[in-house]
Amino acid sequence: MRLTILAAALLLVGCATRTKRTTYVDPDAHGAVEGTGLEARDIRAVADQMARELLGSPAIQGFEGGAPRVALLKVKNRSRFLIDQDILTTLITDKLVSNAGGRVAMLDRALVDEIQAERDAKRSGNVDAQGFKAMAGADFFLTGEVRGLSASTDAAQSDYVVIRFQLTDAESGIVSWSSSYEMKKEGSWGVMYQ
Amino acid sequence: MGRDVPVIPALFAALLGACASWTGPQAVQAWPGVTNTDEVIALDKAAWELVGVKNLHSGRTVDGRLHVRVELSNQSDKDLPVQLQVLFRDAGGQITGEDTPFQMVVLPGGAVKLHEVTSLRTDAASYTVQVKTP
Repeated sequence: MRLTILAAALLLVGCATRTKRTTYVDPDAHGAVEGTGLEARDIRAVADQMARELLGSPAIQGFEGGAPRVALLKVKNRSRFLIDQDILTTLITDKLVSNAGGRVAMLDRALVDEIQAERDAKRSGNVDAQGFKAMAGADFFLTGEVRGLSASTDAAQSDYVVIRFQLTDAESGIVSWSSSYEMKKEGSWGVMYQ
Repeated sequence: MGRDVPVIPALFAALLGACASWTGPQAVQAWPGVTNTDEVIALDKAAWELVGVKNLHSGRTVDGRLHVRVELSNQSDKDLPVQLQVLFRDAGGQITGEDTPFQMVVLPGGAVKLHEVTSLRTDAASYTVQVKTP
């Protein structure tokens, strides 16, 4: 009986010491848990490339009449991977707002309802106001999509992913700039993207 | 591009490898004629031994941003995945904070690949390219 209890206790201790510690890792580094889908470093690389190319595009560089206003729309995900569809536009916005020195103005269309409610409250006198201005209209729409091609066997998986952004003139509908980021990965099955 | 081109850096690398050893982050090995390689740093031994700089150039865009153009060669005969980061510095040599992420690039065996980055800020005056193996 004592031997059984001792063995059970040793087993419990053994399990307890095998608990994996959580560690911080560089978001650009190869992680211990990786599949063939979009990883943190891919997302960061895409956002960085798109922000730099967008700022240098002729549509933005040649725009006359102040900083061009760009409205961001939700990225469409047509790949098999589950990704946060706002993460790319969030990072692109951060890069441009922090570093572009006001050469491009980003419009937040996700807050239109809140902005309209606040404007109505100011104009009705329910809250005070420090002046009125027109809501900014967009000169361009920035849209993005994720597409993929997948192949697999019983043991391995291959994914080719293209992330494409385009800038569309909000008056004419003409595509003023576009760029794609491509990647292909091969690996084993078993990583779940959440 | 002729198949004989990578032979030059390979011989050059072999010569350097025979004389030098890895002592920590240092300038990558340069093809003959490339002089400003202090701006391209290998962060690990594999990157230092296998990656070469064939051409390195920087200039200004019309709106005053710094454009960096670097041609990297794979001095082995196998595909070589490397990660590249560009740090931009202001006129005082301070990092401006708009560094690129470490972007993954696969250099095919014996091949040369172009990597181009343009700063977002106009106060970027110089740069450092950091290369490492994943």
